Amino acid sequence: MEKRFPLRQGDKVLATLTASKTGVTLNHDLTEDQLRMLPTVMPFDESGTQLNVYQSEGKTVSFSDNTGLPQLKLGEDEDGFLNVRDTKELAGLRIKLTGPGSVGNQPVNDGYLVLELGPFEKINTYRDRVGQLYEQVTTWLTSTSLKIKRRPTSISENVYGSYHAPLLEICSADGIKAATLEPVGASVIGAEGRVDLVGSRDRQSILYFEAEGPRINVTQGSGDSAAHISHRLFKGVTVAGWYWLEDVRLGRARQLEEGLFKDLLKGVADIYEL
Amino acid sequence: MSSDSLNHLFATYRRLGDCLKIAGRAVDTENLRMLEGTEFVGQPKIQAASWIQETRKTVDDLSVVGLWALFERYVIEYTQERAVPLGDTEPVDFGERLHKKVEGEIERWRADEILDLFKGVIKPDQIGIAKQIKEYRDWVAHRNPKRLPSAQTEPKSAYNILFTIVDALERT
Repeated sequence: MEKRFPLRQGDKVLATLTASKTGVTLNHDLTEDQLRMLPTVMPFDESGTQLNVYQSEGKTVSFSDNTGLPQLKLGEDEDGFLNVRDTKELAGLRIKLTGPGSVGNQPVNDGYLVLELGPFEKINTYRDRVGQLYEQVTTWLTSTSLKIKRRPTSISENVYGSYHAPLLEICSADGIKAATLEPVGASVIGAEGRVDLVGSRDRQSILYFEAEGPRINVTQGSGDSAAHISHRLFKGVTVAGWYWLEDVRLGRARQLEEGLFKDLLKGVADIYEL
Repeated sequence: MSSDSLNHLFATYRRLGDCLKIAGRAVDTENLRMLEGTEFVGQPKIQAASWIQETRKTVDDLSVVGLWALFERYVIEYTQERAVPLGDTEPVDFGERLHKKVEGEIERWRADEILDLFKGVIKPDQIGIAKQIKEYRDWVAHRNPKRLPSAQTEPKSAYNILFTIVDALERT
């Protein structure tokens, strides 16, 4: 049987959690811009009673009624994001301590937990894409003597706060680091995420674009003679994937493939065997 | 050089500030129509905003350098003009050589020395602030950590004081 938990900001229901045997789904009609405002909400039960948010050891968050009886339990990942699934693959939830002293840089003295809505699902999408890129790179370098090491690191972005994403070290046969693929962030201007290939000599940015990438719409002229022109921000972007910006000023991007990646790697680090 | 040159440079500085304001708004709203063909594309917003802030600071500093350069040229030319009567000194050959020597030397006088000539014509506190602007200009140009400026200077206050001095000299 499904149970619904409206998430309210004041009198307004911004989203609803639906708990079923298959998991907890987050339903909403919020846009990405609205989610970027990071609205705080409180959970309610179906009868309209506000529930309290508690965090227990073992990375579990529960919504309990006034008697302390948990109505819903949710898992929490290492970055504080709750285990809910947005069917639109956009929104997510995390807990936030609020209360007296929570404004500005003052420490929270006597706080309570609220829920924060945000475009957090984009982080999971970004991490998946970064993981796919690392697998691809690992395959491309299999025939070389270079060694690959995945290491944890954390990123801090205005919208998402701090979260974990791995970096990929590319080392010589004797274990000396030659270059690193560093996750930069899920939120960059004009793209859906960025990873930098960093070596001792240089740095190259690799960006993820959806199919065709962003489009620019321009209206030229006015009245009856007005012409609506639409063009792609980057000419080389066709299918969804990781791209290297060949020339950002000329709007040229090239899809990352084995030959290009090896050329970039040679350019950022002194690796001669490629 | 006249006060018009200072006005022109300061107006250009203000308009450049407006352009950076517009760039900041384009970054805030991720307006790709505005940002297309720029290096802001592909940057995290916080990085792009930081570039704009850094650019603003550099533009501020270079504007002070530019305002000082125009002002310095003005006071040198003003001083050289006032030295023209030296050429009428008798005997004639001596007078001409004296004038040429002084005219050439003025180019090499330290700004502090030239400014001190204007004591009594320009208020002492204004001369003092002009010297601080010169100090700041030197620091921007040379970044010598052993010669830190006694005061930070921003273009608006530099313009105000340098314009006031030039305007007062133009009225003499």
